[in-house]
Amino acid sequence: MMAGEAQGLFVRASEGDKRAFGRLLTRIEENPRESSAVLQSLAEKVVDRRDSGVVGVVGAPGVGKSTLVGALVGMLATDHPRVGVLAIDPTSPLSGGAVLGDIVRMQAHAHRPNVFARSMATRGHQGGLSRSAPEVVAVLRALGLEPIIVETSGAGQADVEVRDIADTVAVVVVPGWGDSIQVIKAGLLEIADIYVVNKADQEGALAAARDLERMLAYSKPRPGWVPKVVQTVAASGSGIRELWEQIVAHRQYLASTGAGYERRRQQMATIIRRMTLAELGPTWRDGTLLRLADRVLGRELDLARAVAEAKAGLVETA
Amino acid sequence: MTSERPIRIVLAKLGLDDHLRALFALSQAFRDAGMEVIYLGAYQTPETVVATAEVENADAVGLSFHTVNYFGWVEETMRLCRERLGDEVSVFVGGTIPREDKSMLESVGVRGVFFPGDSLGHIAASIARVVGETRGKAEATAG
Repeated sequence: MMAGEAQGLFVRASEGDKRAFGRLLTRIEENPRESSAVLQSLAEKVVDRRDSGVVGVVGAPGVGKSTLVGALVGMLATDHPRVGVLAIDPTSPLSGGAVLGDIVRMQAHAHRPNVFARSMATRGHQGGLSRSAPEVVAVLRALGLEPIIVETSGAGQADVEVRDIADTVAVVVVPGWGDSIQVIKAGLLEIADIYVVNKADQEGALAAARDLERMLAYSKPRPGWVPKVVQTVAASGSGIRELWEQIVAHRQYLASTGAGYERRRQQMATIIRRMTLAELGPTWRDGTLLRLADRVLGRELDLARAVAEAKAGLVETA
Repeated sequence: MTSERPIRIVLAKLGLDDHLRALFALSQAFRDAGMEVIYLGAYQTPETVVATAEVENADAVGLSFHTVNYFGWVEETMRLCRERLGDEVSVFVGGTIPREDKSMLESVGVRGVFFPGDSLGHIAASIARVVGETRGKAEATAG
């Protein structure tokens, strides 16, 4: 299978062909390196700030992430030209198989012509994402889907790596279930931009929201952005508009400060690292990659050359 | 490399038949056999099943019926599947299917028919074999 075929699928997918989209994502998942040419065009969009936004939705199993994403997509699909969803579920460590049961909760909206929803299994990868999620998300960005919502595998506190691909991270908890709040204390507190108390029609919702606000008051302040706490009832759609408004507000914060560039820089560095490692294997020093990311985004260097330089650097220091 | 990727199978019940226990058991069995199950559950239509198989680039579709009037649903699903996906996706049917209906189902293009009493292991292995053969043919024609 040649790179030209991936390009052909990409062109048809960008015209709205869902079958081409389906096959393209399988190609990229199986061989992330096929995403190279596609990702070059993405780098140009990022620099021009024509890029779309990625929202990561994280939280323990059972908090209602899928229903929440479904409600959000339903609302967005009415006035956004093309919306993307990537729903990730865990692969069984015993069998290598998986039950991908997220999109079942989005069925009311998943088949609208302007909704592109795909399920992926983690395939042994730890951290909340699937093995090739960064490349797949980059391709969704290159296709111009906006926004792109990524629902992680629900490992809870382990889902911190969503930050590598998302601009805005929403952490979902439910009232009265101590576990769902405990898990966020462990690691997600650092990465959340927005907190969502879902199933807010249940007893304890207000207390859960106040708990979170109190925790935030004691945590390390972030310059310019205070994570907001939103209450939702995903099953009825209540609070979804408010959630989207907070996501938009966060994006505006990113766009108007250096924080947006910093996220893009980390994401581009992640892609350069992964593509380099796919070719070479060994571990890499992050400083080198961040400098290359600066040069790609500053248009001094194209993506293929950045990878070549990263490789050459590795050979020299080896 | 392509022949090693996990089998992706859409599992669904069409119409108002919501006897889900079988679908749960099948999901677990297919997962244990290393497949990726795209679980749609009950209340699906041929359109939602085929649209899902398309965007998810599924290898197979599994339809479970515990109702008498199942054949029309299968016919319509096969029609849409052929129209939208050609021969790329294999459709399997199981549940309370009468044994004498097997050849009728195969004549409309169903690649495997399963009856009460068929073990989950047998069902998973049969599906894996059929998908493996289909992939082999696709690769042979592409190469």
